[in-house]
Formats: sequence, structure tokens, C-alpha cells
Amino acid sequence: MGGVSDRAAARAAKSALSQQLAAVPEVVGIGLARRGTGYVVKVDLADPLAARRVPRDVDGVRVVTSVVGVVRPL
Amino acid sequence: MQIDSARELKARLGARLAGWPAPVSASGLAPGRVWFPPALGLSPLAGGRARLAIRVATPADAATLLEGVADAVRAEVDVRVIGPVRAQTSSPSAPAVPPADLQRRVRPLRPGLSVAHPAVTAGTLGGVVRMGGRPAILSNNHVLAASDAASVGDPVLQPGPADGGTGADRVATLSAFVRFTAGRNLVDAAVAVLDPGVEADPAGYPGGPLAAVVADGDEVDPDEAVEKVGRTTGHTRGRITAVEVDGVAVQYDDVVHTFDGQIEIEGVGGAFSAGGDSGSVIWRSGDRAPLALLFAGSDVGGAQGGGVTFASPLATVLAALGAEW
Repeated sequence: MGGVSDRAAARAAKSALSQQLAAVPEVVGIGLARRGTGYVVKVDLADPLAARRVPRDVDGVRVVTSVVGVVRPL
Repeated sequence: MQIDSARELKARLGARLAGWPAPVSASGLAPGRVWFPPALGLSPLAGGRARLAIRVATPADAATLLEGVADAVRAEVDVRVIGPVRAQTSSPSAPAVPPADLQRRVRPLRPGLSVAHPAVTAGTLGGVVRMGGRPAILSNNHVLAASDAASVGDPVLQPGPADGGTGADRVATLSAFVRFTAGRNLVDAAVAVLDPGVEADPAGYPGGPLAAVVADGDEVDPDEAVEKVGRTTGHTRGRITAVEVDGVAVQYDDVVHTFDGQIEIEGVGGAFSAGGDSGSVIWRSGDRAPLALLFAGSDVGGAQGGGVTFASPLATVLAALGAEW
């Protein structure tokens, strides 16, 4: 499993992961989150079953998932 | 002015401020009165230019601070008298904002109130910005411009139709909105210039006015504490759970729009937002810097299961609209 990284490394990993997951419709957002002193990539999912399609790390950067359901305008 | 000149002037005035005599005599206040020092900030503009923003408690403070500064330079400085600023952590003791009060017809206008285009239910008046020097309401495209269905020149009502607003409650005129694209969007945003005779209190946030300078998107960090005031849930607190969020897929009525570069927030002690809070300006609790425009959210997720909220960096919103904070 990857560890926490600096923001630039996490940003690069996020870009790579965004391309990798572009065809997964249950992914509703990919961003940077903090864990301890560093950053991880956070993948938001509409459906928990899609978690198995998300790797646990990208280029040494840890990836976490969160099920947020459908996002709507408020 | 050029950004380097603005920085130089800010440094010069900052040094002058540091050398001021004891606060009580600086403002000529009676003993026992609290002195509120002026705040200085830079607002980046297009073309490598910037504006120096100065916020003072009294006109006398402005006069003293700018003594000896050339008139031509003064003309490019944005000075506003905002009165005393309450402590940055004053919000816990600030009076609660009952949502019912935000859903009524209220004049003068203030942040958090129900507003909408006549074809929309209701959203939130996020703040009062400037468009071409005129005061204007900031909110979302899907609140003020009916998700691209409106035309510039359309009316804006306070309260919104869902809260009983009618043509008699017109307060502003739609002046600009950012259209949605099939590709990647950056904001869901619109502004409406206040109609003649309609007054607004830009500083009327819970706990007092927000900071004069909008947070730079790159300096917004996960885990920071934030707040907002919105039409449905009132004044709430949250925590940033992710930044630079790309590919945020938002299900509008009949189409999904995708957003890049967004900020994700979850509520602290309850949901941060709900339907009708769209358009709220979100600020950082620590320094009251305005940082984002709320526009979407989910029903599930977040540490407490109450859903997450998405917002666009305010600096991006203002640049896209050509508006100034």
C-alpha cells in the first residue's frame, strides 16, 4: 500500500488515476485529502461495489475511497 | 496597479501600521474602547495587476494610514470602512440564524437569504460582490439563471418562489452567468446587479464581515474548518475533506454536468448543507477568508453519513464572472 505524499506527488497520482478510472461511471469525483502529515488521493463513489475497481495506490501514493452516493445541485 | 507596485505599497503601509503609537491614541478612542487595526490585502486582477484592499474601522484610521500617499495611487486603492470586526472565533457565540428568518422577505438584503430566478424554487444569496463597480448578488447559475434557461436581464426575487416570492419581490437583474458545457465545468455561478433603491448589507454574515481578500485556491487545505450561512440549514460548520476534486459528476434535472477543481466539505455536528443552500459563500473559520461557492451535495457519505457538499473556489468563480469581492 502506498503512503502519504506531498501535494505535488498526490496531484500527479490523481491525474494518472483520473485517466485510469475515466470509464467507471460510479466514480463521481477524485481529489486530494489529508492523512496525517501528507496527502492521499480520495475517490468518491456513487456505489460501494465500484470500490474493487479502485487501486490501493498509484505511483506510491495511497488511494482511499468514500461512498457518497449521487451528487445533485442543492 | 501593477502587482509589484501593489505589493510595495502594502509593505510600506504595513510598516507604517506597525509603527503606529499605542492603539488607544491611534484612533483617538476613549480609554477602555477597543481599537480594531486596519486590514491590508492584495486582490490579484487580470494582466499582472492587483488592487490593494484596505479595511478600516473608522474613516479617521483610513486618513491616518494613507497620509502622504499620492492621490493617483490612492485612486487605485480600495478602502472601505467596515466598522469593528468581531473576533475571528466569535461565531460560536454569534446568535443562531433560524432558517425561517432566511426564507422571509428581508430588506436590506444580506448573505444567507432565499433568492431565485422566477422559474427556480429557491437558493441562497451568497454575498454581495461588484460587477463593473455596481453591487450585485452572487449565487449559482442554477439559482439565478435557471440552469442556462434564463436570459441576461431577467429578474431575481427575494425570497425565491418556493418561499412565496413573486414579481413584487424583485430585487436584482441577472447580469452574467457561466454557461454549462458538455466538457469539464469549473463553476456553477451567476450574478445579478441590485435594482435601484434595493439596499444590501455585504457584511451581514454570522460573526461579522468576512475578510477583504479571497483565499487563493492553491492555499486551501484539507482539514480546514469552514462555515456558511444558507437558506435551508442556516449557519453551519464543516471541515474540508478534499481539494482539487476533479470529475465531480452532478446530476442536474436531465443531464450530468462534470466539474473539475472543486472543494469537498462535510458537516461538523450535522449536515453542512441541504437543498436550497446552493449559492452560499463558504468561509474559513480561522481567518474568515471567503473561499468557495456552494453548489451541490450528496445525501450519504462523510464521517457522519449526512452527505458531502461540493463548492467551487471563489477566486475561480469571481474570475469566470468578471466580478470583484
